[in-house]
Amino acid sequence: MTANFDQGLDDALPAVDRQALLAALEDVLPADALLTEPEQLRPYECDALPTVRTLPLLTVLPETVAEVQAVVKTCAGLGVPIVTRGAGTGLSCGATPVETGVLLVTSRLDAVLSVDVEARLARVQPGVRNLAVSDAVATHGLFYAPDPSSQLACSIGGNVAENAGGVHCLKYGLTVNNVHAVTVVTMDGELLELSVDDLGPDLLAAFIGSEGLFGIAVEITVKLLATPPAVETLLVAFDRMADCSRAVSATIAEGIIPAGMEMMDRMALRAAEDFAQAGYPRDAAAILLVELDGHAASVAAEREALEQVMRQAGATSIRCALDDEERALFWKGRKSAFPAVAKLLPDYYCMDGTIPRAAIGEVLDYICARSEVYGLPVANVFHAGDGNLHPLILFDANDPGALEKSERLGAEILEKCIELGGTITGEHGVGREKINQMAVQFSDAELDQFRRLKRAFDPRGLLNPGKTIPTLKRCQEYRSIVKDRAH
Amino acid sequence: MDSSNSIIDQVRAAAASGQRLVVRGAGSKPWMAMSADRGQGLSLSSHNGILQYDPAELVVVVRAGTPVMELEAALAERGQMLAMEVPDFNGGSTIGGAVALGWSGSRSAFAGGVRDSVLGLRMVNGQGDDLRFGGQVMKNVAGFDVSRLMVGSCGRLGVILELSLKVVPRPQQEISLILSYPDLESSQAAVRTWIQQGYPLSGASFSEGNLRLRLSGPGAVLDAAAADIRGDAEDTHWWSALRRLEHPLFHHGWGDEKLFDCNGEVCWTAHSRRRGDGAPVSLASGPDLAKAPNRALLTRVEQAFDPAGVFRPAEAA
Repeated sequence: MTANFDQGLDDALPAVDRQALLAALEDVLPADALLTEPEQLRPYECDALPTVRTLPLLTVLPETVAEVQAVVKTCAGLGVPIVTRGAGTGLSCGATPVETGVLLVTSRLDAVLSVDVEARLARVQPGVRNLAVSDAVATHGLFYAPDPSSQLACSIGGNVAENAGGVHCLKYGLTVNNVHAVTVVTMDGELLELSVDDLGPDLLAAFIGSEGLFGIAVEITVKLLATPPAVETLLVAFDRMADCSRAVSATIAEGIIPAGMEMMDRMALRAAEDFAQAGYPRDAAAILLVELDGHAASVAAEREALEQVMRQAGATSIRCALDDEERALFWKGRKSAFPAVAKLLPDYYCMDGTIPRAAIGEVLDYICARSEVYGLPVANVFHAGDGNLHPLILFDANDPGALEKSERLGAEILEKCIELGGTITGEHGVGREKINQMAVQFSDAELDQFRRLKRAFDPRGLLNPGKTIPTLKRCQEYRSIVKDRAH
Repeated sequence: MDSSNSIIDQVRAAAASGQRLVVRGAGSKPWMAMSADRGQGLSLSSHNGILQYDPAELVVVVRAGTPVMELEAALAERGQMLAMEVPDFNGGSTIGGAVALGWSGSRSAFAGGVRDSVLGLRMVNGQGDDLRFGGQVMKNVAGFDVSRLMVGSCGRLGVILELSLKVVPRPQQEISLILSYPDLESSQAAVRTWIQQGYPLSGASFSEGNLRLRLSGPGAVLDAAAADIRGDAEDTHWWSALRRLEHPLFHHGWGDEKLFDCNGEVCWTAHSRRRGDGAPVSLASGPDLAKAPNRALLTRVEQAFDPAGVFRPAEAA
């Protein structure tokens, strides 16, 4: 049973009068902000998980908040669904269009509105790229902490929708921990201001990671951090995967919280090395990339303690980046791991489960065993410090049945994560992709609570329909399949 | 002791009979506790104990009625502490009450607040459904973030039964320094330069012309910071007194004097607490959610969790 939209299992989409919609939108948008032809719509048919594609009814590219409000009011009046899209770098089909809906793209809302150096806050529009925020404030000795691997391209609006993470979450948290306020256009076209300073239940936290189901973020005030005065990046090699897994827990047990702690297995590190010439040891079974930052004296003390922990865990070599150039190179390898692995076979499918750190070894053994059963290679790239796994399942979609096999293997890996006390998604979101696994992770009562919370924000269910929360029917169907598989 | 079944039964009975309930921890915040006209008290104080704690996972799972002090003592035994610092009223606050109130203490400006520490929870909504959201891992974006929504909910959305909370290693040392500044703004500017230096600040408050700093970390770093900052050392008692609201300010001794915590983010008077641009909260009557921003949305969210109004105060009915 795939995650694809299915009339029998998912809520029906409303019927839409395209001509009436087009006429109404032409009244509120400049001509170049409205895309209507199939060849114009084609680039928007999928996000960065391209196995699921749907052409939107229309695409709109508003340039102002007022235009966003006008589009939303128009759609609300005609009962037309809206899917919001940022840069399209999402990995869970969160921004996949619906065929009777408008795709609202925030890429033209791309201004850094203001930087308050004293309060360490920046007000930005949703289409601003993640890395552009740090670039805009670097001269003040500040940076924006969440750093997804796609940070060159991904936008802050999408980061807010998905509660994006990155390689430095262990110390600095996810998007939710680094946003001060959001201005939202709700489905009735009104503006909502959500702030960490608000009295009462934390609506801002609930909005972040709501995957476009609650509203459209049109202005985001992000928190900035002081650039740490000292940074050390260590590249640690192991000739056994189990030693590498153990080193992760041992580091935390020692009281060291690195800014980032990334693990790559042999297949991933070799691919990354071939792609980026990062200086990774090709003969290692696994490597850890560990970054320490802060005051020079504390970084020096932590580095000494860390090296000892690594040696005790069986590290075969420890290299410390000699300068910023080498540090950038170490990270370039890691951040290009996905495209690097993509060169091995035509297609790959990226998982995003999270598990307790102590279970890393067990889940790796499981992935290895299932990979052999399915005959599909898996390269492993982990945010090991926080137990967030990105196994990359390699396949060739031209082989009959290979795509379905990769999805089944992926589903098994995610369900193993739940069994080990973890979750199906650490930072990529549910979107359409993991809609079935939601039925395994959550009970009917929990899913029903999600649906009622959704209706509190969007009573008519017009925002990003069919995403994130499965229907009762889909849940029943999928759970019976999982049960049969177990027998 | 595990009282979850009894709590769930009480909520279900209340939902069926139209009874109103007022969730109560240790009653350490009298202004949050029930009065006769608001509804029947639902006590969490016997629902306590640590359920799961593995220091290498940096997370603790605890029943909501566990006293904050008891939890912190258990973490201290393993060289750890809660990542958040919460107020402790009368030395008796429960962890569930602290999260429901959502007030973050002095450390929050530098290490994150309550919302940053809550990784997951088990709760009962107004229908008596036994629900779990979030989990025991740092990164988890499956479904909507109900765990953090509950921070600051003041018992209006349901009863928190269990919490998964982030823990961190205890700092090797902690020092407190006192310096004179003519006003808040000049003290804030100084604090900003020390943040930029990477000094491990864990507290910055300003009152009566005095900036007080707390620093937590390895001895070598604290020595370097103290030599640069050049304040007078004092013991760290001041911070625990502030945390327990046992500071003289709170005994009405200061008239209209203000105490700024979190480098100005939080402003205390003898009668109120105010955070950032938010509305001041009266220390006599507690947060008045009727005046919360986005009230219409909040009402719909309350109805989504508690359709029968079990946790709705009588005056808002």
